[in-house]
Amino acid sequence: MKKKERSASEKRDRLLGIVTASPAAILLCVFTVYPVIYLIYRSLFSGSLISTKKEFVGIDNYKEILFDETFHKVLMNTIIYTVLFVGLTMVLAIIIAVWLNGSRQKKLNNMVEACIFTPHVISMVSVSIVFLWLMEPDTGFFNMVLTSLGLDKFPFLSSPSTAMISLVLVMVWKSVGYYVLLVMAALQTVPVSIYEAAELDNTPKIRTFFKITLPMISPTILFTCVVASIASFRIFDAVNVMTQGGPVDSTNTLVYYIYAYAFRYGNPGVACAAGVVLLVLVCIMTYVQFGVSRNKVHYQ
Amino acid sequence: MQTYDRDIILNKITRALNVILKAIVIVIFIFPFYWMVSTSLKDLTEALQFPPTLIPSSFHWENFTHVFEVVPIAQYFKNSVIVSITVLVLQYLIIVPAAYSLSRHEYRGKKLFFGLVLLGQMIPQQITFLPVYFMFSRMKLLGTLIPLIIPFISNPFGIFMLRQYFMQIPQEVIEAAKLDDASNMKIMFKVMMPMAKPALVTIGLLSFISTWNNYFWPLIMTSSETLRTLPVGVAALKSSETLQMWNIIMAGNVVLVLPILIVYIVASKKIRNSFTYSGIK
Amino acid sequence: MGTIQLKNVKKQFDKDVVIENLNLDIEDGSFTVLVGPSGCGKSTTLRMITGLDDPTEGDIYIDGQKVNDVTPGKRDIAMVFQNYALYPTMTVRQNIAFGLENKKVPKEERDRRVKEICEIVGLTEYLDRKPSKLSGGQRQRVALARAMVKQPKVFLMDEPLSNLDAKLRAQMRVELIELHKKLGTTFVYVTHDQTEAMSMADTIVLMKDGYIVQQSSPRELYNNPNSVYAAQFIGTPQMNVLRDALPDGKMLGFRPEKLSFREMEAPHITLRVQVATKEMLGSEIIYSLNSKYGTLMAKTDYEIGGGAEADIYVPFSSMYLFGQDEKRIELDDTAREQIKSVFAE
Repeated sequence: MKKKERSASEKRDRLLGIVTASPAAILLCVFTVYPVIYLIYRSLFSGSLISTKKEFVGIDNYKEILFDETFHKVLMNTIIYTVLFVGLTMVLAIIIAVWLNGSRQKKLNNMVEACIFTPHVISMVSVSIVFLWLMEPDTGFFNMVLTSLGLDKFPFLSSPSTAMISLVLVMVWKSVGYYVLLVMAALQTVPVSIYEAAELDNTPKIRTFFKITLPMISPTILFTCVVASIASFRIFDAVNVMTQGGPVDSTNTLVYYIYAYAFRYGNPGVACAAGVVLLVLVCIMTYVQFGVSRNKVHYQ
Repeated sequence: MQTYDRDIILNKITRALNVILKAIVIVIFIFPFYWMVSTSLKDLTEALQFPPTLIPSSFHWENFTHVFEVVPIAQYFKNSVIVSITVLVLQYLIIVPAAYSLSRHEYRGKKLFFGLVLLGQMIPQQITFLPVYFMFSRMKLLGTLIPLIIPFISNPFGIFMLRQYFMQIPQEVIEAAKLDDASNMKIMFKVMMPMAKPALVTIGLLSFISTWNNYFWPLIMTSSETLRTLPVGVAALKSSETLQMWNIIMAGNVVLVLPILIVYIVASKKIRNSFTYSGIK
Repeated sequence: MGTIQLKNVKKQFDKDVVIENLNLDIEDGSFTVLVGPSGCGKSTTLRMITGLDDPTEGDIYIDGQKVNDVTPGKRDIAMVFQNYALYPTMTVRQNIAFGLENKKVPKEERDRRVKEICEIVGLTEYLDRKPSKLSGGQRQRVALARAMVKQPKVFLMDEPLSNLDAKLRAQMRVELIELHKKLGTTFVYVTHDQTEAMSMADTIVLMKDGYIVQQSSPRELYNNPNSVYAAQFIGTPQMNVLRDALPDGKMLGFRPEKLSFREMEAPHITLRVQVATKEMLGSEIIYSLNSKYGTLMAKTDYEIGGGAEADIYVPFSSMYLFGQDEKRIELDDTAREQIKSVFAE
């Protein structure tokens, strides 16, 4: 009899736990789990965006993207973009972070940090529009400066050969401040005594950086690279605002391709198939991320 | 003695060099914003003129009234405010109980729920948007602001962060409150929430910034002009009839940037710490 | 009235049985100290009285009423935690008043009681500070005040002094004793420190592995331990117990402070020892002595050089006899004769 009373209070506790969890759980199911399942399911059908009619076509949609040269280019572009963006951002972030960390002008450093971080909180749309204007081929500020220095105009986003690197530069400008903060946080975890020991050993600064600083923060850097890569796969805003994937698909990336297939060409089946490709990429990288983060914990 | 003097001079040079380099970095990151504001105050001729002028020769405030005339930017602004504030407020109703449940209760399915939270953090909007679009289309909700709000109120990052905070609260403090005859609600609102205040503020800031800036989701989920948010509306500025009218476009852009910039200037350090936390969690 | 009874209480965490079958009576107005090594179940016992843990089986009574199904807040008890467990976001005043607010005590009475208590514990000038701005001793006082203000039937304390430094701890010990005298309420106090137990308690409950070894006054526990465990738990250095000297597995115990280097009149036994180490404490000296039956400890004011050989004398009146099961047995005439003959050799 007594047992029952006790389990009643326990039951109430359990019930309260489930009740408080359920709104979030239901929302997460509806907006995360269901969409992922439906994405895979829908990728096996043809049909249009407007009508609810659809037809089972098996893996035809996958075949279509598999043999679509634009899709190959899009995948290539996404990978090139990711490599360039992550590489450039991280190298710059490490240089700036180590530089700021090593100099003692506290107030000025805080200002530098605040300034380079500003673009990160500003919407991608604003940044894209401003740079679209700065990089305007004829009347943009950058080319006006080049002209007045007696140099040739640079085509920036208007030429297939320079559009991608221009896009990367804009994204690096927007994001580098964020990664500087992350690297600085990693640098704070290196004990000061190690640097003092190195100084007593008369170690040159460059050597200290490569032999002590870098190895100490490398697990964090690796983790950050993986997270940055996952974010890079999703690039869309800047592409849509600045280039619409052009010129000649030179900046067409995976998410833009999915978007265009669904909303420009009205073929959601193919869009879903490409969406599944993105899903697979994200899953692989997340798996890598967990591996890396376990390593990171182990390191510390 | 002489080498000592040389060291002092060398030191001074390095410091000066440092200041100059830092000034250059600051300019690189601030100039585009300056250029945006500057252009927004020029007339079109001056905006396109060579060589460019850094400071507008005269201030054309009418660019701002103009941008309000060409597009319903007031409507966009209103939509942005409604969406950002509603998401900000509603999410607390969802994530606080969820985090409480994950940190302080035992029940079957808790691990599964936590897995859901992690999954929610992992799967980006760019994967879920099509199915969600179909869903809202079937529910005939695409003509409302609901699709811009509901998917974001179960903020999985917020649940995750708040759970960490709640778990750090010593069990004894909660027990002390129980002995003080505080109800579950009272323990939540008087003891745990005040202790988790830094997390609640961080979550609010990050959520507001990301909702305000979100372009992708509203672009897809809004078809009619009256439902557009600022980023979608401002991005559309550069096509329509304002083509090449950079001064007008920049004026619209200023309207989009300003609220976030003000928030950032007021809480710069706090926002930077919040982002750092979200990056190394 | 603050009596507490535990009847046939069993406590089990998952498969771990912490307490098998516990029966405990705590008198109204007593200062009862639960003492024992860590893991002996003393904290679990306290937590079951508070209601923060439920017993797996058995009943708990406070003031004669069964409280198994009464929530902790309604048991009319107050607790002081080891790490104080103050509400960090509230001021001292809010911390103290929180329980009264929950009990819907009217504001004026609340303010009056908070003020009164703060005068008693000397916190008046810190009322509007947050706990993080207070020293360890002050936090301790806030925790005490928070408990006192509720005017509970029972005060429960879980190692409340262990986070304080030695000097402050001694001072707080005295204050707690005075407080108990003033309030006359039941105090139940958990500690692993035998000195604390001896100096504060009027009843000591000595626990081990989830059962009660002995429940008695400090004096009784010192003079009449019921087992080797109880005998050795109280007193430093601990009681000498000769395990191999007597036949039938019987053991002979005597406290280090009761043996003497001086010849005595009273009936006694004599042991030949050699001084191994010598530890000067000022008024007393602690010797460790090598004997035929192993190392013995002595605490005396008698001076003797290290390495020297000597005779020590142990009076029968200070001897304790334990059986093979380590329980105390009577030191009757037969036993005396037996001991005499063993040590006469």
